[in-house]
Amino acid sequence: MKPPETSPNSSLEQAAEWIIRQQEAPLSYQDKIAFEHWKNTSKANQKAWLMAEKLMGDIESLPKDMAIKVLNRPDSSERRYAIGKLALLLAAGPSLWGGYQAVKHQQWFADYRTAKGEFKKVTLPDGSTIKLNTATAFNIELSKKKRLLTLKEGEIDVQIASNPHRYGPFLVNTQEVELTPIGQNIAVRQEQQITRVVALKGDVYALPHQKQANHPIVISAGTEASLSRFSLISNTPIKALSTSWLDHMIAVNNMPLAQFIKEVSRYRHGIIRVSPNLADLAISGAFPNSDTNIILTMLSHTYPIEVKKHFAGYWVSLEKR
Amino acid sequence: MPPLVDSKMPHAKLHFLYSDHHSWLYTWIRKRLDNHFDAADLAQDTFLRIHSRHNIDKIKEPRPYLATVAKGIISHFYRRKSLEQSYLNYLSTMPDAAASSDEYRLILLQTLEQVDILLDAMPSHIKKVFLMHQLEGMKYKEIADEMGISLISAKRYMKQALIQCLSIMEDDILETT
Repeated sequence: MKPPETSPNSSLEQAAEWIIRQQEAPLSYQDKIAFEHWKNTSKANQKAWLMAEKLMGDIESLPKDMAIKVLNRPDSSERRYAIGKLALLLAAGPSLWGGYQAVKHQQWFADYRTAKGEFKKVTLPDGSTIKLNTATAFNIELSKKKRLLTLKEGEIDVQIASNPHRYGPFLVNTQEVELTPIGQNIAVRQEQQITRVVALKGDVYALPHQKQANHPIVISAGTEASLSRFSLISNTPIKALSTSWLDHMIAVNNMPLAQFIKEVSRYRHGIIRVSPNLADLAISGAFPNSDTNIILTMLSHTYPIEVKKHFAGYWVSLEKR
Repeated sequence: MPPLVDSKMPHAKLHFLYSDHHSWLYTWIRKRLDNHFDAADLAQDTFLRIHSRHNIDKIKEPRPYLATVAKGIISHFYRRKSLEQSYLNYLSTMPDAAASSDEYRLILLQTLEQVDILLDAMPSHIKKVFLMHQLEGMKYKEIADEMGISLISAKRYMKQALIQCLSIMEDDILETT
């Protein structure tokens, strides 16, 4: 055993050596004495060994198979890709996101999107305005024949400008249906395998992509409907939740907590887990969707819920208080 | 109460730093992140980090300094996201693992993050030796054979890896105390 050195790193170096020796073979009696002596020689050695124990303890506690897969991921290349992509976007400027004009075919089309937690309002060249809720993307094509908005994901509110001479009728296409609003205002939400339509002003004609008959389903003004790609699933008076996002709120009435958190998660990065014994707890009220942390605080003040945040809020668990 | 006088000054300085540069920093991060939700969080994290370092007095050029700290935080953010994704991918392929409690999974994730931070800065050959020996339980001889290096090198890499882990842990302790 070397005598203790004075350089600041020597304690760490020696601790590393002791780890290697202990892992290779059980220490002999003399080694054990030397090891105890080393540990007690200085505060620095003591501290170094405490850290060594913590390190080894952390590694011990991990299921080996999983840890190798997770820790040995091709991390740097993914990150380099992400950072490179951002650098590219930065260099290209905002025009890449704002859309572009293709004069060639006298047609105008563009892509619009919002990130999670973002809200945006855009005005199209025909004067129509579209509000985009969180995590939303749509394409638009404007021509004399028709104005076709294709909702790819998320939720939009469309105020249609009547513009019969320069542009054709306004159509909204989703993964399940083609919608023709007769009035001026419609809201549409793309969910998994389902399109939700809110006829805010005027009736809406809906044609599911795989419907046999050719006559459209009529969604009357003042009602909302859910549609699959085959048929109408439900048609009810407009619920508060369906339009409250336009006021930057999530408004619910007796909604089970698990479902409510699904709504909240649309606006938040990371994971919110609901303890199973809370899943059915009925939640009512209006919550600001611009700050999900406030929602979590409100929940913990109003209901017997304890909010545990980890990873700077990236992982949240809701448990019974 | 003498400590109050001492602690009050940095606090006021942090306040000025915050009010003078927060919106600039937010915009700076936003440009690099394309998501104002995360950007707001990370801007906040940057100030918290600076606060915890207790060296606000020594900052001469606030914006370059903020940018340097923020770069580290953005890189950390990406590392954490990729770790999280990798972990969730693993869970999705392992029905047994998914059946364990949320709490246990969270602890595992936190431990993984701790170890991941330590491994992050290592050159890849050193990280490889560390993982092979500590997690796969391979002997130095086997590692040496597989990587085509000498036994001495395998051990030396292991020692380097351990020293690096310990020194990062030491820095963390110094930073948070």
